[in-house]
Amino acid sequence: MSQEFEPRIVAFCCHHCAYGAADLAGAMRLRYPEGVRVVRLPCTGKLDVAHVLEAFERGADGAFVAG
Amino acid sequence: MGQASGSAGLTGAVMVVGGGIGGIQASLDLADAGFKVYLVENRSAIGGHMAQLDKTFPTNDCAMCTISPKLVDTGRHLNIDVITNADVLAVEGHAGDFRVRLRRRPRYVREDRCTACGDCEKVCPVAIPNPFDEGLSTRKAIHKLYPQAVPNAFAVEKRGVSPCRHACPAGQRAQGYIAHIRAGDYEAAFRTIKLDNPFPGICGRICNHRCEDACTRGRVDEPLDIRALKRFVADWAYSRPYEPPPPADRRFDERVAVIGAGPCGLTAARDLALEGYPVTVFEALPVAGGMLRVGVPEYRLPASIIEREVQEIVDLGADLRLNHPVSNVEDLFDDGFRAVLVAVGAHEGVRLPIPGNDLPGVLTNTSFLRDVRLGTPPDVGRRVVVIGAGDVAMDCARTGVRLGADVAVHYRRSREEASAHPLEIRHAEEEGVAFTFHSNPVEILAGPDGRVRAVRFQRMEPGEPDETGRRRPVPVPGSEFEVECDTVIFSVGQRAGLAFLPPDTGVQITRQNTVVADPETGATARPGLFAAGDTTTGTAFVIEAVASGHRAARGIHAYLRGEAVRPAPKERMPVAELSDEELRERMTRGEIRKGRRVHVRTREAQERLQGFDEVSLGYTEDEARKEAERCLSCGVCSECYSCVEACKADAVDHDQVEDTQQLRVGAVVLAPGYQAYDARLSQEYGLGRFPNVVTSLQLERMLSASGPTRGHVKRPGDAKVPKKVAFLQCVGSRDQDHDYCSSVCCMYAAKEAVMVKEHEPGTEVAVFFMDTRSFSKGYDAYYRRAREEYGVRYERCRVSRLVEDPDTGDLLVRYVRGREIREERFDLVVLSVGMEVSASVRDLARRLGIEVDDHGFCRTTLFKPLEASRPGIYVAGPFREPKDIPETVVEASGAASRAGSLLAGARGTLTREPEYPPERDVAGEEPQVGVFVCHCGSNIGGFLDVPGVAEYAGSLPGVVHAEANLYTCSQDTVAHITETVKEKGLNRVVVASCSPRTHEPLFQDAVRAAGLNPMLFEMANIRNHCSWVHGGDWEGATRKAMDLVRAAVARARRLRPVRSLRYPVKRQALVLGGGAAGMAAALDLADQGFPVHLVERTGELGGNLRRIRFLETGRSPREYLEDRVRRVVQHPNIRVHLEAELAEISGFTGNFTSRLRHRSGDTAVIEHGAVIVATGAREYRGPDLGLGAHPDIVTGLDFEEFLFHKASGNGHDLDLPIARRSIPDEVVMVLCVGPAQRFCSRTCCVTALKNALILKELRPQARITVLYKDIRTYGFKERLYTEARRRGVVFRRYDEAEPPQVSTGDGTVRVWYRDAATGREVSLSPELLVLAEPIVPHADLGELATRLKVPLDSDGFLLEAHVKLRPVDFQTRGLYLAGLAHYPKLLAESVAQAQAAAARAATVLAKEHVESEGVVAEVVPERCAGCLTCVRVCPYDVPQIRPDLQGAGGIAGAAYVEPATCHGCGVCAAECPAKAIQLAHYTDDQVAATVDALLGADTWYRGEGDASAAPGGC
Repeated sequence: MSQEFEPRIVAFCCHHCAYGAADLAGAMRLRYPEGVRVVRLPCTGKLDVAHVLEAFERGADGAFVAG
Repeated sequence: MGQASGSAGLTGAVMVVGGGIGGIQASLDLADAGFKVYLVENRSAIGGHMAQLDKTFPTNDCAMCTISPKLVDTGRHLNIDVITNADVLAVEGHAGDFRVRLRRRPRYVREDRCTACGDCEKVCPVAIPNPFDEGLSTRKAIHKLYPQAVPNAFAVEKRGVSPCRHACPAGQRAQGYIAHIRAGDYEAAFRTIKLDNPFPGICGRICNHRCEDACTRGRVDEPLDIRALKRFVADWAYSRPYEPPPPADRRFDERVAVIGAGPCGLTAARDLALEGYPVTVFEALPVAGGMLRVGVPEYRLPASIIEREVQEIVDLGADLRLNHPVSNVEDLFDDGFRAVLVAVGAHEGVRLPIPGNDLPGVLTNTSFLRDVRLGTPPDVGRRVVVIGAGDVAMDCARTGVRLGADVAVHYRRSREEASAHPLEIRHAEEEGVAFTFHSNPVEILAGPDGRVRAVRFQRMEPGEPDETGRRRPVPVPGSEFEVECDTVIFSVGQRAGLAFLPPDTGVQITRQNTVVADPETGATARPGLFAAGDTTTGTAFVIEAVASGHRAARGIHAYLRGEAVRPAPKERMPVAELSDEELRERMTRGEIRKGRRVHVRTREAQERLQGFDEVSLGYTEDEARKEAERCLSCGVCSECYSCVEACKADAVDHDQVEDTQQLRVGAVVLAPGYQAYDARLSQEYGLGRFPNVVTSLQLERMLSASGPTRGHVKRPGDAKVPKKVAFLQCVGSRDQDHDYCSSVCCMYAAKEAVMVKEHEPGTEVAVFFMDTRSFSKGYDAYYRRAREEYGVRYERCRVSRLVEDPDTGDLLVRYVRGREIREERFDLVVLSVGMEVSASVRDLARRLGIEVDDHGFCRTTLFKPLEASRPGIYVAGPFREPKDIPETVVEASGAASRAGSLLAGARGTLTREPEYPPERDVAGEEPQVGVFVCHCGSNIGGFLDVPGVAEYAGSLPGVVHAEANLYTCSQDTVAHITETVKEKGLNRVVVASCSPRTHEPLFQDAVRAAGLNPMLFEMANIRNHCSWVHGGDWEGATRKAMDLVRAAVARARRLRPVRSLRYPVKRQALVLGGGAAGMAAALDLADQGFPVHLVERTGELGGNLRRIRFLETGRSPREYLEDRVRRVVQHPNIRVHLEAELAEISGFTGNFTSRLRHRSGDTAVIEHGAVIVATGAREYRGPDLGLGAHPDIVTGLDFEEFLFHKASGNGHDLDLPIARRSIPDEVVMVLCVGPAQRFCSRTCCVTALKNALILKELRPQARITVLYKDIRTYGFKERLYTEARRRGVVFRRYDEAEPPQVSTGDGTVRVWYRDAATGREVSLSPELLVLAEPIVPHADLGELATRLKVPLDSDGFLLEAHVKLRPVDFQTRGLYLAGLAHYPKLLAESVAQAQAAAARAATVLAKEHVESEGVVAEVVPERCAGCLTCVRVCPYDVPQIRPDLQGAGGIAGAAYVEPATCHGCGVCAAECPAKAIQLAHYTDDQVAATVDALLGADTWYRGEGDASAAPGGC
């Protein structure tokens, strides 16, 4: 198997909007790589820069903030 | 259901009719104010039209995102019963106490069991146009209205039993298996057939197919060849290797005997075996199949088919004993059989009573065919005569031909009267059989050898009709003739041989030798003895034998179980008949194209004669699918039961029937909404004929990301992306049939135009319109942006017709610009359709006895805008007049307030509060986590390793229990979670299933029921975010699910209880402003029982209402004003503070303290729970257009005052410079003065036209010229415009860029403008110039707003929380707004909005306590440096620095966040540089643990742990 780069991305999503959009993507059976993991926040305003840095520290290749 | 009544015979419940946004809002407001609500919706889910929309104007918010939380709140509200698929039949009783009769149509899916997993939808073979997508996509018969639907459950669309099924004695689901054939799923088709019939191969060949006679397609062209389709399926199934079915489970011990292995007996045997009985079948012949095997010739029904179908029944466990005649039925009972079914058929042929009927060589049909079939054909000689012309006679004749004889058929009646199928007769003729009709045998003559030599016949002719109406054949005298032959076969009927029934059994036998038995159950007079099939009816068709066998099996089962043998009749579903109109419509739409059935190929006659090979060749796969395509799916659902089989939650129930229900309510709120105008009726635009003409709703669906084209605009004709799009406005509005404006189309067209451009930049968009009616807050700015920023072109012209270019599908639009006629080509044309009241809503209004106008809109009055003509029935939304979402929401709240006022005495009498056990203290306990992993049917389990994930969860630190469930959200599993928490002492729970947005509250309730704080719960979304988006990647999805569960567990371990806070509510209200809105709000709240402080800064109540002298309806506003003032002053619950203003306010929702300052300097302190701001606005009186420069230039209000005084004859009282002038003959009115060029002041057009008409009344010869840029008489106000033109008012349009100018230089008033239509400059010298001044905010509104901490919009009006869905709320809870301070509006609109504000305030005041969620920010003062960051970033102005708190280092002053007002967004926590603020439930350690665990294990590392899979490494 070839070692294709598959980035690990942490998506910080607002409960009220982007998280719902991710739900809808599922309901519509859209596809995206499994390397995307969603973390739910009450509002993206709650996202502390520290959490993004933590994600990178623990090996994430990207952070996606959606809200 | 027992229902308590409140005081004075009031019922504390309200029925809300219509589940659109209006009905939802009214329900929520009422339920939150302490009333039980029944929300009745006629579709399977609530959401209405708003759920269909993509974006909403003017904010471009996603419609679904904004409505979805309301849907969920409504669905989960303890005191709202959402009743779907229901219609209101009647409302009896009176205001305060109604009885409502409802009809509930079956959903066919149990809402309490359906988990909305969608497994059923996948297997459903019936696809129909999807109305939710406006026909642009298809959906299944079992469906969910839309993905976010509430209730979150599937529903079956079933119009009734399809005619084919209804016609079939055995109830074969023909539509069902045909649907499967169409979908290419022959296995499912086979299974569907076998639900009702064990003999698909047999019936597919020889059935008399009554289904085809009933087939609706026959009314279009030809019925489907259903029989051939069935045969195709059977042949397909039998072409693969036979796999015996597993023997049926034995559940009962009573043995049952069946006599006769024909279709009837075998059907019964199979049913009984499947039911679990030991069954023995006794057959006298050496073969099974009965008449099918020995009566039907091989060339029609090959023995191999019968053997295959019989074998399956034997393999199921029926004990078949061939060559086993029964001589006495009583012996069987003696042998221990508890029930015996006689199904021996009718195997004895009948001979006519004529001389020579028993000569050697004279045979009967049954014996002849049997001998041939059993391989011992008789020697028939060279010439055979067959007597009779039924199907069996044809079998005899054609068999005779195959044995090498010349066959002559004689029949005493005509060819038309022959009972054989015409096709059989034709085939016989093709094979050389000679037919002689009107020929009756009188004697059979013997030859010298004693055998048959000839038959003597007599010619017959039709005589007098007999009692059946058939003409009885009578002999023609002297017409006898002889026919030489070697064999005669009688085929004139057959009957049963019943020698085994001893006379003493008590069983009755008829003259026709049939057994008398109950046709429904087969029971005879002898207990335990049953009879069915031909034995009881005489010869019939195989499908009837099958049906009879089913009935007998049910009868026997009931008998053996001791139940009533004859079950109570079940309610029958109606037959789904398509009307001629519907058929025509479907043909017009191109869904049905006329044609012919696909004919079944047969062997050539020559080839046929070679032997007994099957004549019919059956369909090929292509032919079958082509034929199946012709099915019209009459019933929609085909009842194929695939969904029943697929549903693991056992939720599908096809036996549900319609029922009616009666409910007691105190009031009814009608919010049934609108229907979009059916633009196909405007044939000039070609909708339905030209594929690239769509409606605005269709475009809306295309624009929606979850719509049929996933958000891409495509031409339906060829799926091309259009480069040029035209919108045609006013389709179904402002025309001959609609004398009103639909109010919303201008704005939605602007929005859609903008969206088209956003989706496909570079698209050219043109809007063809008459006036742009962008009359609400922010609308004009939006319209300008569409034009100026997005470059949407507006052409002021009504297009009269469209022409399609047939080669390209493009559309040619002809229009006028200036004086030029142009023709332009567009790729796509969008019709902006207007609003109508549907026929069903008109019916509803009729049933309820409320008044409607000619168009079906509900009649209400200006002063009581939300009240229908019948007391206790309130109305909101477009049913009253076309309107958009915010106004509908306003009216819905207002209607809720009206209902609340009526029922105030019964508040809280029928509502429930949730009850939970006391909370367990988990402090000090180590985390004990329980994990529940959901299969969600196959939705998760089919895509990843659920047991593996559960096992993995069990290995995680802190987890003491892990399990997998089929559906974690099913009622029993939810109860099981509660039990497990208690049993195992869990203190944290994780559910790995779907979205917390839909399911978190459900599971939180479950843990709460076990005594845990609901916040000790966490979800891992392994469906929407995992299995559904990573289909086909089993490994990856499993790995990710493990990661998500690990992160959820890590977070769960750190979760802490969060306590909600309760404060007592100060149950009185403060209303600011004593005008029309303030008084209406105060009165509604006071009527609801809440004390109100009404604050007015002038010395009298009434506000601007005092200056309104006429209403557009002609009624007097004075009466209303005086009535209101009197009621306010006299109301015991209202305290009026005149000449007073709000000086100071503090506190939060439910708990405010305000200080009022009286002009005298006195102050008063008021404690209250809610505030309504209704401080009004004023007429703009700026110097624009010469106001003040000349006495003959007046404002609209001055002019109205002038007219009033002139009309009442006391003009000299008037305190205006024009007081002394007479009624003028020459008036110019200018619209859109000053600030109105920036925002539409909404009321000016209507007011100006109203006054123009009054002037015309006073002085008919007056010449009135109205200078305007758009006439914005929205809704029914359009009629004023029409009337003004009719009365000769002259309308002249000027261009926005060049507004009119006024000069008064020489002492006369001159108005100059450039006429937009002609381009010419025009100058007018009116006697009076009336400036329609806009309404502008009070100069000091900003100060009040600052005091209240509420925002203003860019025009200086108060800004509501959300323009669309929270139109009377402020962002800050407990504060509401109404009237002109919000935006200019007409009187009725102000009143409705005030009532809405009252309803919203009542939701606070109705409660004893206000509860804050608990997910709020908390400050640790010792760490706070008082840097003010939190104060600055909070969007809700909550944090404050409190001097009484000690901050970091002991300094005085630290931040404080009031938990009651905190919204819990966490912005302050994220921004606090000292980390002194934490957001409960999302503390830094909790978020960090989540992120850490998500990334911190091996599972997400590429290739690690499996180094061998990655040779070469990096």
